[in-house]
Amino acid sequence: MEHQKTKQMVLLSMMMAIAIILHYIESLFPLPVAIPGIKLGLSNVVSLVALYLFGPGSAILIMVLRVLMTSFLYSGLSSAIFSLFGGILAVSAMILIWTLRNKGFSIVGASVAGGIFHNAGQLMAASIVLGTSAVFSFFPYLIVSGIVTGTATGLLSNMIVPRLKTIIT
Amino acid sequence: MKKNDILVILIGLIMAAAAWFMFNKTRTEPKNSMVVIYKDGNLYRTLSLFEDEIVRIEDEDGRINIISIKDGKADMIEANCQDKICVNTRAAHKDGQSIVCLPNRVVVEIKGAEEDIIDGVSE
Repeated sequence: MEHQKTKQMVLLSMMMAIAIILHYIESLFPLPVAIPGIKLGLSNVVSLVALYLFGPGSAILIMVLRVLMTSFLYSGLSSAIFSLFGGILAVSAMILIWTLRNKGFSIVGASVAGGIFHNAGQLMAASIVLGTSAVFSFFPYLIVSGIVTGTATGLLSNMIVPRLKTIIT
Repeated sequence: MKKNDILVILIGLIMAAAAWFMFNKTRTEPKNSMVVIYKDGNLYRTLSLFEDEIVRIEDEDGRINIISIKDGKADMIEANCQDKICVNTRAAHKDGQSIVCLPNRVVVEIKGAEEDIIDGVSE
């Protein structure tokens, strides 16, 4: 049991480090799209993998710590509010689909839902900061991009989870 | 990928279509649209979309945005923000369209004159 706990802690810390680096790499290559907020969401892969390997608690932990760390390291606290808003919504949506995992919903569905809600959360935070609902005109594009990137990261997670499962058990 | 995953994607697409329809239905091209500029969440200036002008916004922190209004189109032509998303956004010319510069907290919005009258009454 102790052995198992140590294993989980080490894996979670490593995933945490991967999430931070993925977030950094992603910020180096902004996608050439004229709509704010569209990105691949590679660091969401880590929350997703943590959710399917260790459960909701670990997924939330990874997301919150990742947001705080990347905000302190690279972008500043005001962006932490944005990311937290999007991140919490995304993880909640993922957990919802995760609880339905025996009812025909796979990790891809969770990833897509996470992608959509991540973008919706960012947009809500933006409308609060800017004091206007004008930003919601981007909403349809952000949903579609959330679906596309969510599918991509979902398929990726689908490959990672079974491989990591052999390590933890 | 399982059957119900397609369902999630479909619901998302329906949401996108509904949102898109909501914002585009109201977009017409009237002759009296206004350009409303917000800075830090507050109303900065209101201008006519059909009078050519260059607006330069600079705040105490040195954040600069330059907006050009020309031929019935409003465009962010320069900004010293990091991501340049606002500069890459296409020029806005229909009601409800907007250009947003999140780092510098600048929003440029096109509003129909009718909308302003309704707002004035309801306030």
